[in-house]
Amino acid sequence: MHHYIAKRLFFLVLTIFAASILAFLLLHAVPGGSAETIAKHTLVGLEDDVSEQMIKDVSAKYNLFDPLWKQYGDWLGGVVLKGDFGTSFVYFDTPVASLLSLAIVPTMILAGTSMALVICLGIPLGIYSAIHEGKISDIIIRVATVLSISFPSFWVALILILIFSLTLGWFPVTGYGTIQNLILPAVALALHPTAVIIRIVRTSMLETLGQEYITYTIAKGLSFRQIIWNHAVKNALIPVITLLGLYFGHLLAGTVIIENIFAWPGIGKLLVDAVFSHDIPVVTSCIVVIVTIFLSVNLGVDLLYHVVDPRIRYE
Amino acid sequence: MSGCTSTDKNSSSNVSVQNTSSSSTDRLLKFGELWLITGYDPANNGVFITEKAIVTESLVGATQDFQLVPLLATSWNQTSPTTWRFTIRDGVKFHNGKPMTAHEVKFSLDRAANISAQNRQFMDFKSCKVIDDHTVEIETNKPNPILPHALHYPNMAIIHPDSLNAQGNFIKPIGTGPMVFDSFDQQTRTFTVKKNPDYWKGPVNLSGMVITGIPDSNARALSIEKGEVDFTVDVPMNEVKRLDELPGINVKTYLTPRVYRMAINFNRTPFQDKRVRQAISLAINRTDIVNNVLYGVGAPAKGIFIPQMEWSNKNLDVLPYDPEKAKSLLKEAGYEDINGDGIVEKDGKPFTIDIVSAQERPGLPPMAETIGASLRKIGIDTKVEVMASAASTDRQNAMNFDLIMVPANIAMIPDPSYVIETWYRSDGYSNSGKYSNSTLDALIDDAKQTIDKKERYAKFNALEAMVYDEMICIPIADYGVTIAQKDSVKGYVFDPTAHDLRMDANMTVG
Repeated sequence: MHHYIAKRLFFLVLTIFAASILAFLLLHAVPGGSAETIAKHTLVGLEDDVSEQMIKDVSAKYNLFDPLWKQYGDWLGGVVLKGDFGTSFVYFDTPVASLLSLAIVPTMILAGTSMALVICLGIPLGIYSAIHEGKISDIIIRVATVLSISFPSFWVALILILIFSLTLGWFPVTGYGTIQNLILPAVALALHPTAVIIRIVRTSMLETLGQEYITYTIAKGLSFRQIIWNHAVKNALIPVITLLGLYFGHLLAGTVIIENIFAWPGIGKLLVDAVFSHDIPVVTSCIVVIVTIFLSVNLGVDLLYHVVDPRIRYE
Repeated sequence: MSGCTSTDKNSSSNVSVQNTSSSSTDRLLKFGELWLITGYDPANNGVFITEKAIVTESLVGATQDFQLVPLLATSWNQTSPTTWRFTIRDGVKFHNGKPMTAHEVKFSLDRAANISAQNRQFMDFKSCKVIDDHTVEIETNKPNPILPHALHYPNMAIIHPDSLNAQGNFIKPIGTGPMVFDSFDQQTRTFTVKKNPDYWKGPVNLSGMVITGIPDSNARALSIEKGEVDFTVDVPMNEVKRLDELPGINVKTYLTPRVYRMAINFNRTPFQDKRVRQAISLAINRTDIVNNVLYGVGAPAKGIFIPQMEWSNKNLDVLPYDPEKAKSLLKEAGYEDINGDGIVEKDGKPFTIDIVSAQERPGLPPMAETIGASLRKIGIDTKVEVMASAASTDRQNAMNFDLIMVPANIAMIPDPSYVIETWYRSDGYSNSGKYSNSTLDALIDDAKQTIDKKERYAKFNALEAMVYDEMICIPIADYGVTIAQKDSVKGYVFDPTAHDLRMDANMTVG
C-alpha cells in the first residue's frame, strides 16, 4: 500500500512538472509576441501599435530576452526552492501566489457547491429512477438526463441568465459575494455531471438489483426498503465514487467557462484572462494548481475506493 | 462617508456638513467599465485612473475640440527650443490634504518618464527642474513643440509622493481630482472612489463610483438591463436601439478619437500602384457601412481625423463611393476581366487579395466581410480572414496580408503629428503597410518642428490632403462609442478627447 502511494505521488509530481512545461511552451507557441501582447494589455490598448522601444523595455523588465529554458528554469526554481510563483506581468507586479490565493477560494466554493448539487440530486434521482424502472417518472428522468447531457454548459448558463436573471429577475447576472451570485453558476456547472451521475447510478442499481444475492435477500423475506438501502445501494455506489472524483476534476475544468460567463473571480477566470494577455507566470501557475487539485482528488478517490470496498487491494 | 447628512447637535460648529441638499446624490454610481481593472498607477494606467476613476489630473487639459487649456498648470511657454516652463496652479490640494507644488510635479513627471518608454517618448523627456514652488522647467532631447500636448496624456498625471511606500512601490493614487481613491477589491477587481470634499474646482455632485470591469459587450448590456450597473459603455451595436427603447435606460452615441482603417501592404506588387489603391477605396460605400453594419454607431470617414479635431482638414469630404470609376481605374492599371468569370486579371493572373481583421471590436468582422463583398463587385477576388487580435498583429508584423483592418486611436496626444508621424513616416511604428517616401518624411519632420500653431496646422492639413489623395491607408469610418445609462443618472457630458470616455464628476445618480 505504501509502495503504491509512493509510486502514485511520484507520477503526480512528474505529471505536474510535465503540465507546467507544456503550458509554458504552448503559451510561447500561440500567436502574438509576449512582450508586445503584454504592452498592449497594460500600456497602449489592445488595438494600438507598440513601438520597438516599448517591446524592448517590457522584454528587459520581464527577462523575455532570456532563452526559454532559462525563463522556465527561473520560474521553476522559484516555485520549488522558495514557494514563489513569480510576479504577474499584467497585474503590475502583483505576486502570482497572491492572485492564486484570491482566486482559489471562489473556485472551490463554486466547484464544491456544484459537487454538492451533483451528489444530492444525482444519487437519489438515479436510485429513484432504477426502482421505478419503466414507469412514467423513470421515463421523464431519463429524457431529462439525455437533454441535460446534450446541452453544453455555456449554453445552459446563458439560458439560465435569460430566464432567471432577465425575465424573472431572481438572480444577478454576474458578480461574487452573495448566495444569489452563486446559485446560477453552480447550477450551470452541475447540470451535466448530475445527469451523468443519474444515469450511472441508475444503471449500477439495476445491475445490482439483478444480482443473485439480491434474489437471496428477497427469498429471505427482507423488506423492500431493507433490500434497497442495506444491500443494493451500498454496492451500486462503488463505481459512482470513482466517477464523482473524476467529475470533481471536470467541475474544476468547467469553471473556466462558467466563471467567465458569470464574472466569477476564480482560477478559471484568472487563467483565461492571463492566457489572453500572455501573463506567462500566471498561466503556468494556474495550470499547476488545477492539475495538482485534479490529480490529488483522483488519488484520494482511489484510496477511498479501498475503504469502501475492502476487496480492492493496491499493489 | 462624505455624502452623509449630519444631524448631530454636538458636532463642533466648524465641521462642515457635506451635501445636505438631496438624497439623490448620496448613492454611488455603479459603472460597468470596458476593460478589466489591471492596475491603477497613473504612470502605467493613466487612462483608467485619470479618465475613468477621475482620481488624478494632468497639468494640461483640453476642450471638446481638442484645444489645450490650463488644468493643474496655469500657463506654459517655451524658453528655448528644448526648454519649456510651466507655472503650477496655486491653491490645489492633494487628497491627503497637502498642497500641490512644483516638487510633486517634478516627482510625478520623473517617475512617469522612468516607468514607461511610451511616456518618455511622448514627452521626449530629458529632465525636469524645480525653479520655485510654482514653476518647473522641462528639458526635452530635441525641440518638441508638442510637449504641452504630451502632458495632457493621462499617464503624466500628478500624484503625491505618499502614493508610494518606503520601498518606492506604488500603493494607492493620491491625486488632485474630484474623486478620492477609497478601495480596490483584489478578488472582484472592483474599484471604489468617493467624492473629494475639497476639490479645487469647487463642489462635486457625484458621491462616488463603484467601478467594475466587464470586458464582454453582451455582459455589459445585460448588466445595465438587469440594473446591476447604472452606467456603461460600448454595448453591442445591434443592441443599441433595443436597449434605448427599454424603460429607464437611454443610450447615446458619440464620436471618439478612433478610426477604423485598412492598412495596405506596400511590399506586395499591385499596391504600389496608386490607381489600385484608389480603386479599392472607391469600391467601398462608407455611408452604407455606417448605417447597416455599424447600426449608425459612427460616421463615414472624411480623412484620418474626426471633424471635431481642431487640426482636421475641413476641406476633405467623405471618401467617395464610385464603383464604375473604380473599375475604370483598375482597367487603367492593366486589370481586366478577359475570361468573363467576374474577376479581373493581369498577365493571366486573377487579382486576388486577403483582408485580415481582428475580432475583438464588434464592428470589425462584419465590416471586413462587407468590404470583401464590395471588392468582388469590381472584380477583385477577396478572402476575408477574421482572427484574434494577437494573431492579426502577428500577420501584420510578418507583412503577411494584403489589407488589414485596425480600429486605430488618433489622439493619444492631442496634436496631428502623433498620427501623421506614426502612420506615414517610413519608420513610424504604426506604418503597418511599410509605406516609404523620403519626400513625405521630410515634410512630416518640417511640420512637426513648426511651433506657430496656425502654420503648424496648415502644414498638417496639407499632409492630410496628400495622404488622402495617395490613399496610403484606407480610412473607413470614424469610431462611435455608445454610452448606456439609466434615466436616474443625470448630467453626464461626453468628452471626445478621452480614450473611450471620461467620467463626469457633475453627474448625479438617484
